[in-house]
Amino acid sequence: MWRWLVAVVDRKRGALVFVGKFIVAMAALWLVAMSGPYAWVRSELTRANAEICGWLLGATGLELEVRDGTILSPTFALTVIPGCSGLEIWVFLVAAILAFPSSLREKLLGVGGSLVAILALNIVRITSLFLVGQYRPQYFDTAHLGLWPAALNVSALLILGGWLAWTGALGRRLS
Amino acid sequence: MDGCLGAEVVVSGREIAWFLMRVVLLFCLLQLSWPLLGRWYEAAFRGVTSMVFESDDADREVTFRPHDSRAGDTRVEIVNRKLMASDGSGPVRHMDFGVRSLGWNPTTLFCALVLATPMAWGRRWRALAVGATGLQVLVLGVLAMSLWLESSFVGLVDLSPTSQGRMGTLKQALVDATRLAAPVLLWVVVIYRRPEGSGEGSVVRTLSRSRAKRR
Repeated sequence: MWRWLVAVVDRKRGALVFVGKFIVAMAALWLVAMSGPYAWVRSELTRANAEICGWLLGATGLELEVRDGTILSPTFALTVIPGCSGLEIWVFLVAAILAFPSSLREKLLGVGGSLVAILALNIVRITSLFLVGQYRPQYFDTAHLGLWPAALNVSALLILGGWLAWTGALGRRLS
Repeated sequence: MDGCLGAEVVVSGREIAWFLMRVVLLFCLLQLSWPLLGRWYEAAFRGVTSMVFESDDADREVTFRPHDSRAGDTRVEIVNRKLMASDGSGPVRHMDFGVRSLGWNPTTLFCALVLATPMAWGRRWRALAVGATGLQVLVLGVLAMSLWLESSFVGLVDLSPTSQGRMGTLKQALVDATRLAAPVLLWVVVIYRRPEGSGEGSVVRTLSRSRAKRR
């Protein structure tokens, strides 16, 4: 049993080192996420998300207003809470980018590019959810709790795949 | 655009794109199978969680039941018998969660990643069996931690408010990690294999297998 375990660990060493680096990076990012300044950033980002989505929706001719992170129309209201910032997905991407063998420049561009992509995607998400709630409220829960979480996960993989293709990091040794 | 492993294996952006397309397609198909396969998974998940976590002893009572709310399709009821009055009234802690978001979504993502990976079917089935089992154990571990934390609100576990706050953040981090990071990391571990007679191993080697065949 012990020999078998040692053989498996030896065969999977590269992957296990990568997973270890990923977990350390993610834990460090979560420690930052528990800090006060991060809570402030997330709260401001949430407010900004609501403002931008309100502006975009207003530009389509919808009658609405944005108040304290809530987008209000005469028939529907959507409150953007800190958990809707998309930063949790970004933390996954940052941990993966930091764990993959790549240059500092590639890492920095990956971290910055993925942040922009996730923020943009989140604005599309909130805007689309408001439109679903406004015109097809019966599908709101399906879109909010079913479709979008899955779509965000797939998008994170696509962003990571894009970064790997760009850097060629996937072809390097994991350890 | 191309990356390399030693001098032998090169993976192109097109191969990564093709692999990701297969992942997305398979993930969508598995998601659409929720009314059929998902319901079976839901029943099995509830059965296992009830078997593992339900208790009815002198101190505590933990029950799982189907529940229809926005927070989820399953409700866990935690009762500290010592706090209950003789007429049956007293504090009850409820915890709602969705089997689909907690277990089914990460499982389908993991299955899509493994099924989209070009490798022999024997290895693929082994990877699916080992990885999916590992993922379920991880999900049950996160659920166990959630139950432990919720038990502290009815005096079954002794935790200070500060510790409750910290544990709550840790629990949320683990729940988030289970949704995306866990299936991806498990996929990396199960498909990674160091080639015979070489000091190097690769995820890429597996991803590039189809092209190596063409050469």
